[in-house]
Amino acid sequence: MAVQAQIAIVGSGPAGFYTAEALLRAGLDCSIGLYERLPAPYGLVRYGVAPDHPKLKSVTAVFDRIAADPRIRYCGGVEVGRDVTLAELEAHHHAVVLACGSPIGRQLGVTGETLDGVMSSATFVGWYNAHPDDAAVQPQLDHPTAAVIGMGNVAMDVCRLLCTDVGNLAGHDAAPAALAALAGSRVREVHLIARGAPGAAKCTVKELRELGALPGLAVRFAREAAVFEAGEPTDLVSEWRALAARPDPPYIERTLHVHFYSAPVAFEGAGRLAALRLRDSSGAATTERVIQCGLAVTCIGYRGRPPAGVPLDDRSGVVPNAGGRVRATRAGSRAGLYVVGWLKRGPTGVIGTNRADAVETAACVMEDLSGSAIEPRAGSAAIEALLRARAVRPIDFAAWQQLDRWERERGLACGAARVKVSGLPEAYAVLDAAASTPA
Amino acid sequence: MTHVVTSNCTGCRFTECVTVCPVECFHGDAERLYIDPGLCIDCGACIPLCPVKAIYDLVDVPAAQREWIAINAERAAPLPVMRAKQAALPDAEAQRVALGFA
Ligand SMILES: Cc1cc2nc3c(=O)[nH]c(=O)nc-3n(C[C@H](O)[C@H](O)[C@H](O)COP(=O)(O)OP(=O)(O)OC[C@H]3O[C@@H](n4cnc5c(N)ncnc54)[C@H](O)[C@@H]3O)c2cc1C
Ligand code: SF4
Ligand code: SF4
Repeated sequence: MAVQAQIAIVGSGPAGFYTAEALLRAGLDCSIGLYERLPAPYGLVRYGVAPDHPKLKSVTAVFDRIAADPRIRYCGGVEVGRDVTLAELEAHHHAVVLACGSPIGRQLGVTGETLDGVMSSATFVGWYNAHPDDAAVQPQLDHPTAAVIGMGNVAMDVCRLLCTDVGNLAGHDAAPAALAALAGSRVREVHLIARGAPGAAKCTVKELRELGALPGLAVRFAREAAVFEAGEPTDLVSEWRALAARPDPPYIERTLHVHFYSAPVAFEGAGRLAALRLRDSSGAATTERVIQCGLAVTCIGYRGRPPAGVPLDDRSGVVPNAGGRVRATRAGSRAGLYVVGWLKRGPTGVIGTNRADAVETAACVMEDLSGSAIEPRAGSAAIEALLRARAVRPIDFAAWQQLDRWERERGLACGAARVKVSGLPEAYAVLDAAASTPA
Repeated sequence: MTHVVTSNCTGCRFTECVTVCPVECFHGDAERLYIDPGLCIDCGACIPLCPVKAIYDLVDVPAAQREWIAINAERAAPLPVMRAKQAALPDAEAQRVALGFA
């Protein structure tokens, strides 16, 4: 009988799930251990996608269907690099696929970035989405002006969250503490800042349109001429033009100020952010502008944070790879180690992009495994034994589903779709309480 | 809301779109694809991949193409799901050029 391939996948975001699916669909005789450090699966679908986009989050039904395959052993609450090492995974599996995403917000590298009141989108988004790592975050919403730096879809999400009526966010799955803070927010002016031209913004027309459609939002352009620069307008530029041309709403609740060709020079303040200094990046002007503000969110991309022992390209923030095979050196790949999703490509594309990407990485795994006969390995059974010896308690998929029900029930009590579990300690407490109450 | 595959797809079927659909809501017959509106989550991933701009968000479907909204809704579900990229139909390249997407 042929030896069953033992595969470990690190990270249960879209890339992790789609990789498992692709391997199983390709007909590989395998057993897959899927490891996730958080108490809940789904990665940024749960902790990145905005709370007012519930339809997108329904993609989790697809991941649940994948997880139901008996050849997949899901282990939540297990961090590779902390609870079990990468070397241990590599020793017990034929292939290890890193699907850890890119959780670190990129830095602008200008002075004052560590001031209180300056934070990256990774932190701000984690805050409103109740990411366990960001439970202690408290964005400064006591100043009437906030700045959002960057013009990708994440910047659009952050602007929308700052400019929307909190009623539009309640009822979904945002962190209750964030909803309370946003309800008391004094932010009325939001400055959206991009280095480049309107057409160079990375956001999609859809996200821009959604932002523009917020009731009570007026939109101003620091240099309106930029929006009407000569040339055939793309769909995105047409959308900017429509925003520039439209009349103000009858009652202005908040104002969005859009700055193109503007690069942050410094964040200023004594301990706490007081102002953002900008320079013109088009070369047209040499004077700097200063925006007084109490909060600045940098939305300029993400970097990977793979487990220790994995190379990371410093410039791009991704794991160097060829089609998903991790490269140890310029020439050679590191046998048996693969990468997929944001850790492979960087923070680009949408949820579904990870599906096509996972098919590519899975094909590399298949090709390498079919090349020669493989010797038996113990796979996830060995890892679970190690975890038991270390008193680490994995949350399997059935346990997650129990947590999922608990979150929804807790949501019912306050009119929300769910209230997320705050972290591993609470998750274990909920599971223990359920185990000790007779059904 | 949903996304809709309009007339440009007929006779070409470059199936680039299906590789990125996170919920596999594309269904197809011998000629073209249809989106199941009951499954589509409006993520927009498929739009930029279509070489002949056949896919629209429901709210953006041009007036002349609106019949396709009902056609997608009726035909999609009974047809087989298209998950992986298929070979394009033989005349696909010619059709792409004819449609002005060289
Ligand atoms: C703010 C924001 C909004 C977004 N909105 C949208 C949207 O509206 N529509 C859309 O289509 N896409 C959106 N995206 C993009 C989408 O979320 C990503 O394309 C996708 O989640 C990337 O998948 P991934 O699996 O590579 O990474 P992730 O989703 O980040 O998953 C990585 C997983 O790995 C786990 N992990 C990391 N390290 C370890 C370790 N050492 N051990 C165990 N587990 C580990 C993490 O906890 C996480 O669960 C958004 C992204 C962000 C940041
Ligand atoms: S990519 Fe466009 S033309 Fe090709 S199958 Fe998809 S919708 Fe049809
Ligand atoms: S919009 Fe997204 S979910 Fe809908 S058909 Fe396109 S890729 Fe699939």
